[in-house]
Amino acid sequence: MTDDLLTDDARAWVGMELDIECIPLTRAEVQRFLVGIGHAPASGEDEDLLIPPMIYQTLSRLPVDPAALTKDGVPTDRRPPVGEGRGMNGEVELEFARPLRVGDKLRGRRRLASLESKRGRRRDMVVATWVTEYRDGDEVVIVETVRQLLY
Amino acid sequence: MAPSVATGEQLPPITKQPNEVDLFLFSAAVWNSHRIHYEREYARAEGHRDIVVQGSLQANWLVEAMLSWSPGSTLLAFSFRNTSTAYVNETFVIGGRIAEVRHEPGGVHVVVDLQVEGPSGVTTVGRGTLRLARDGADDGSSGTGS
Repeated sequence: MTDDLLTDDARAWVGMELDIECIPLTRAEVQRFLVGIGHAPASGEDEDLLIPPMIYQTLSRLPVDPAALTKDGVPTDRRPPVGEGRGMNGEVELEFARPLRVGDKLRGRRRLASLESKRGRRRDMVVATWVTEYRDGDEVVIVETVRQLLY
Repeated sequence: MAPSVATGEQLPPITKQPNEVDLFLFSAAVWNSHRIHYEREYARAEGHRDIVVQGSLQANWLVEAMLSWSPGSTLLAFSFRNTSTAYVNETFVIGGRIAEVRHEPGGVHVVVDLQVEGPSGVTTVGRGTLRLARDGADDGSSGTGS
């Protein structure tokens, strides 16, 4: 039964909110991300720099205490207690209110919006839906919805 | 500006063949320490046939396919979903098809259906919405893709 995975301990996570203080978007971060996605570092002035939209991924992942990682190397604080404690990301949806710019200092507010049981092709699982709003000051820049598959 | 904008038009495909170093550099860039992306034996113990290509790296390929088709355009929305596992050193073709063209007050918006296809089939699907650049330049802002 899929409901066996969705325990009261897991349900208690729904509504949980996490603050995410992001790394400021600097030219050096742009260069590091460009290399990470297989491109040469950029040249030219900051205002001409083409900033990959998905760079928010690196800005929003701060270093984690290795002791807080699961056996498979994933931070534990982002995973409701379901099944064997394993999981993967499902669908990710993004809305970009404006392009990112060097100098942006994003802050994220992540909320676990829901947990739902699902019968998968190979296994039963729980779908955790996390919604994160990234702001620069009062301005919403990115809204991210991530569906995490837990089993 | 993109050479033509019509529903059904195919984006020029791009090809990727990520090796172990590529996957390491991406994991380092996004602080992804999941062992299946760098430890072959662990990945195999987890039931994979080799080191696993990060789903979010494939998402970046989808964005790249859109923005290399229409340089200077602005990404307004993007979604993606990994549908099967992609493995290191395999060859992937990233392509897209224009699903919708909308003439909005701020410019032309184009919705593109996207996919990453490897030797065993499609590994990631996505959908993006671009506001097209006008005459090769958008509204003066940065924020285009790589």
